[in-house]
Amino acid sequence: MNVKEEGRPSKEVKPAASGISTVRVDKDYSLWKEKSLDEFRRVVSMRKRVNKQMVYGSMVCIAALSALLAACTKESADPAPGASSGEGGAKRGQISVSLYDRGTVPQQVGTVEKNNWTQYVNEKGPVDVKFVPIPRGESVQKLNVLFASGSAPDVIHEFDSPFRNQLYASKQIMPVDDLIEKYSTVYKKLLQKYPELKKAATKPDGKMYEFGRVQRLVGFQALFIRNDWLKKLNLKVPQTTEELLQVAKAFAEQDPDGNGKKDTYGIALSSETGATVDTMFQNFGWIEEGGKMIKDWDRAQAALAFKKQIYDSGLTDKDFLADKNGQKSIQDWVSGKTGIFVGRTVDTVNFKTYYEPLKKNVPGAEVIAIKLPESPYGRFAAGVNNPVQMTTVINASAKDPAAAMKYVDFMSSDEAAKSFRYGFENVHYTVGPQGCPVQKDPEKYKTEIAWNVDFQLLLQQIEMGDCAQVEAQLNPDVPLEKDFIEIIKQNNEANLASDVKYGRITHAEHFPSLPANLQTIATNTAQISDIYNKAIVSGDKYTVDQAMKDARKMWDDQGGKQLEDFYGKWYAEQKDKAFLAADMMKFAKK
Amino acid sequence: MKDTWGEKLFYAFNYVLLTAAALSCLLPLIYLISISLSDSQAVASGIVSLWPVGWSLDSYKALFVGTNIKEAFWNSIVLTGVGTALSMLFTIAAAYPLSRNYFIGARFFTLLIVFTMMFGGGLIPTYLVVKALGLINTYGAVWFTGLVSAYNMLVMMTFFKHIPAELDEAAQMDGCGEWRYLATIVLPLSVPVIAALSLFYGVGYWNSFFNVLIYINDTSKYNMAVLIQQMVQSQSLLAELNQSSSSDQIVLTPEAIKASGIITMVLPMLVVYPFVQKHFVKGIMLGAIKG
Repeated sequence: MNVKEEGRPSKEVKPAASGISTVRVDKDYSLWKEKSLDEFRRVVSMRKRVNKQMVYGSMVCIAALSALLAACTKESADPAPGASSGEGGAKRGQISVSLYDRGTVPQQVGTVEKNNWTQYVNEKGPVDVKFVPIPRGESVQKLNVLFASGSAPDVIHEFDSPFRNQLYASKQIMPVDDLIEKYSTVYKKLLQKYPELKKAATKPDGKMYEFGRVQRLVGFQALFIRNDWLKKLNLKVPQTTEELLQVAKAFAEQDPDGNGKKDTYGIALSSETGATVDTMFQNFGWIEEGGKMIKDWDRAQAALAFKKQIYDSGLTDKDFLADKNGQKSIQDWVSGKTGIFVGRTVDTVNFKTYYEPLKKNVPGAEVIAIKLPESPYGRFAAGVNNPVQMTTVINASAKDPAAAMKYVDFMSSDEAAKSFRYGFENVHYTVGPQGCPVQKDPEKYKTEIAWNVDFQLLLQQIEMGDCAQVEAQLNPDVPLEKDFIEIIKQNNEANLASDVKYGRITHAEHFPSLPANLQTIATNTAQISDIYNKAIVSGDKYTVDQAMKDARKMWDDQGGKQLEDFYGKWYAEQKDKAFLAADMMKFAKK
Repeated sequence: MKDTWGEKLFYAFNYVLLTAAALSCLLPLIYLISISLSDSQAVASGIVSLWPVGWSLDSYKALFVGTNIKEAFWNSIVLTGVGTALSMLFTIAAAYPLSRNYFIGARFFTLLIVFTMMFGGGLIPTYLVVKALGLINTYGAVWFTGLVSAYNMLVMMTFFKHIPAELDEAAQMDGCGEWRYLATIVLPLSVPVIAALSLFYGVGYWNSFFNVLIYINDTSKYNMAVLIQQMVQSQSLLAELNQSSSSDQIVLTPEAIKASGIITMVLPMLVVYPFVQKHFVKGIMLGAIKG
């Protein structure tokens, strides 16, 4: 029974796969060969008198041209592959939907626009869906072009919130309140259960324009510290930024790895670790004070002074500025050279990036995730995910918005969520002792399911309970994975504890987008970070005070005041309506 | 003749400089090869230098096994082969008349073409034109939007201009028409520049990325550059997967995938290069000296 069922889906999938890519190209080629040969013969008989070189020349030319024609005509004769399936069904709506293409769809299951999951959506879903692949890396560019030429898909999945705001501003997407009211069942319920979904989707004109996914609030960034080093040097977990500095100093100077060389760093300073130092001091540029959103300078100064102190005391990599994407700092961490480092605990891949290689290189390493130390400005969460993430909009020129709504309903349903996440019961998983699905065959899972993340943009992970959390996806029987499950738990506690605040006004994705002219100002004023960096590495030559003075001057010269006005006005108008930090906290596990 | 001390010094200096230049080109390539062949664990720890640490073909496996890379490779060849042939055809067809000084308006048309080197229509207008021509989702969009490179056309035109006019006169005396003159005299004399420009076009088409990305929607028509870029991108854009990602999708470091992708892209060109190189060098020289 099991064997049979296991066999079925893969059989269904295979012919579809071979039908697409290989055959098409071959056909193209043979067409090209045949045509060009024919043309060639005709040319030869027609122009027998023409000398030899001429014939070769025109042969090349005609071969090229006919190949071109072959490519063109074939295209127009062959309707889009996705559209054909499920025709004949009475009154099924038809829509096109954008789908990120990451080049990760295994060949056995097909292509991005036609594979086992597009088939699933077309068979189980209420509408016929034609998927339009959007290259992940250049998605905004591609979508822009599609919109400009009037060929954008009906439903657009896109993570980039400034881009979605731009679509809203240019009226290229439609308000969805009425659609939800009239056609939705699943998403309507979600809106009642999580009113924040509505908050986050509502644009300045008071209507909803976006659909999103709700996730449980968990720790995102994690402040890792080497507990074995702490023990060895007889130190306590740092509770304040002052203590953190002491610990980093000890890590850098007292040879915690015991190799007799002074080759360890106390703390990393590039990329996410540097950003987390800012988090400790709540240095996010904007703060809320007396019910108003204002530009902050004090916290910036404190954070800068702290970083400079780390750098001047030689507690970090001297070349941290050259480590733009943080790759070097990760290497230092996993090779056991850094004592304090910020990684992540939101994804199983984090285990493979931050923990497994470290334990391989330094088997004795012991890692814990700790609360951010307290600064004069309070104690803050290192970072949390965006619990209400907007991902989906409907094209204003969609011909069948009702069908689009039904698609959204289907994609956010529990049934679809379960299938996308785990596959099918007894085919891909069985229910394990804790009630969570357990993979049957990792190989099969990898080819048929693992890559389908881009179908999950409306997946309501919070509805799926504990099983869908990262912890449940690691295997507690493997010692290293068990350690990491513990670290994830520590980090969730550290980030969501009651004495810890979320320092930002709201998650970056929920900030309002700037109009184009202010965008330029924002880009220009962002160069203030160069001033700060200069101050960190310049020793006595360039003091923190001087840097702050220069930064403020740059801010004023570049028109930063306009940004202050814009955000100030937005906050004054929207602070009761917009999705802000306080809303986020509701999504933590009680 | 014996080299003087000064000359020896000069040669030594030259050798050092050239070796340094050669190494600065070679070392990154060797480094990439060694990264692509290393164990991902070692890559992540940053201990790989010029020799692979812990041999592993995993990153190549990730690129080749179960992906569309074979089709993409074939697509790249078609795109490059046909594209180069078309481009050369039209470049010659433009360069020849413009190189004749008895062609009325040659200067005007040349300036018109030079104008396109400085000003372009921009992405979206171009896209609309391509769409109106029904070329979306065909390689025609890639071939026709960059059919003749103005720079290449100018190089070829200059080359044609410097073929001695006496040849033309002699041929005309014997009753040779323009087509025949072009085919039997000009082109055989221009092998170097044809080889060089073909290589320029070829490399251009082989590496064409953005046009394919924008104009081609059907993923089975992607070429290697786009496919590999997609794979590399998806390895590094992890932030958004935010809890939705499934466990063993990504076990490789983006660095290893990047390296093997680059090597796979570069290798075919490396193989072709030596065969065209002698013409290539000569072609550039000739154009440069005479132009």
